[in-house]
Amino acid sequence: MQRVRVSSQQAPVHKLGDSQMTLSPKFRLPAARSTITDHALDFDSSLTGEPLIPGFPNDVALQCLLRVPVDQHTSCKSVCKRWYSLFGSKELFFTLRKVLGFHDPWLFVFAYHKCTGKIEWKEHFLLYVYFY
Amino acid sequence: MAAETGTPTTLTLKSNDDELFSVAESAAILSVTIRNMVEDGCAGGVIPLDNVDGKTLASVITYMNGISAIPADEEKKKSYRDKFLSDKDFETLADMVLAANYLNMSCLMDAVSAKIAQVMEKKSVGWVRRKFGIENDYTPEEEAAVKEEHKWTFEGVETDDDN
Repeated sequence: MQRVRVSSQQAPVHKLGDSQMTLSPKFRLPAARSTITDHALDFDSSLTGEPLIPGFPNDVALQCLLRVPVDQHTSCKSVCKRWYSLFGSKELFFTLRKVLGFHDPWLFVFAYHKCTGKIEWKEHFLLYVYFY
Repeated sequence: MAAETGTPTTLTLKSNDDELFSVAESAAILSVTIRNMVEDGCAGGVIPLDNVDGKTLASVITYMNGISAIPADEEKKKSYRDKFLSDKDFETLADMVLAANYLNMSCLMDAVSAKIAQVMEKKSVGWVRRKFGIENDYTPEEEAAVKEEHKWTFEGVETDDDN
């Protein structure tokens, strides 16, 4: 049986974020993760740097890009690194939607497909869905 | 004094390529930018709109007239917006979203940006880069890695020759 050392016994809470902790192998992300993640810019710095869409103020670009359905996000990530950092994080995407005042709710439907054995999902803009 | 006569006030808008357009004040004030100018009393002469070209301004004015003729019925307004945007190409939509932003017209802004997002669906990465003028800043290896991560999302994407 492997014992897990509880770090709080030695390190008080303020130690969180300590450089030692990030260097510790225990906290390292699996090496198999894409190398692109290393290049993904911090979104704040990407906002001050090059625009998301050339010629568009970033708030206008966000108005368009934040409406892209979630099932398109993975292909949008391939466009450029700035888009990777926007579409790569669902937390960031939905936080920005909230910040910019997008109130139309999305409904996520998950379904198990009997024939293919796959779990499929699709989001719907609730504004355009009618209930019977 | 002109307001007392009962005839609808007309404003003259000037695009950045010096085209002049007449539009009823009641329609033009859908733009918060223009409404502020009217309220500040600086809309007496020609209103210069330096960030909008004539072609785009003509479209925006068509929209202003169309939507302001519809009484307060959100369903009808929505179907007008859908119909108005249905025949616009991508370049026009891009110009219109910038114009809507400059003119501060939230209803047009919402409709056009939703339409742009809708047009982007099922388009290839190359198409999106070309239309938005985005430079590919991935190295070939990085791009292959991103595509490999999500191979299945590239199934069912339209071919690249659709402009």
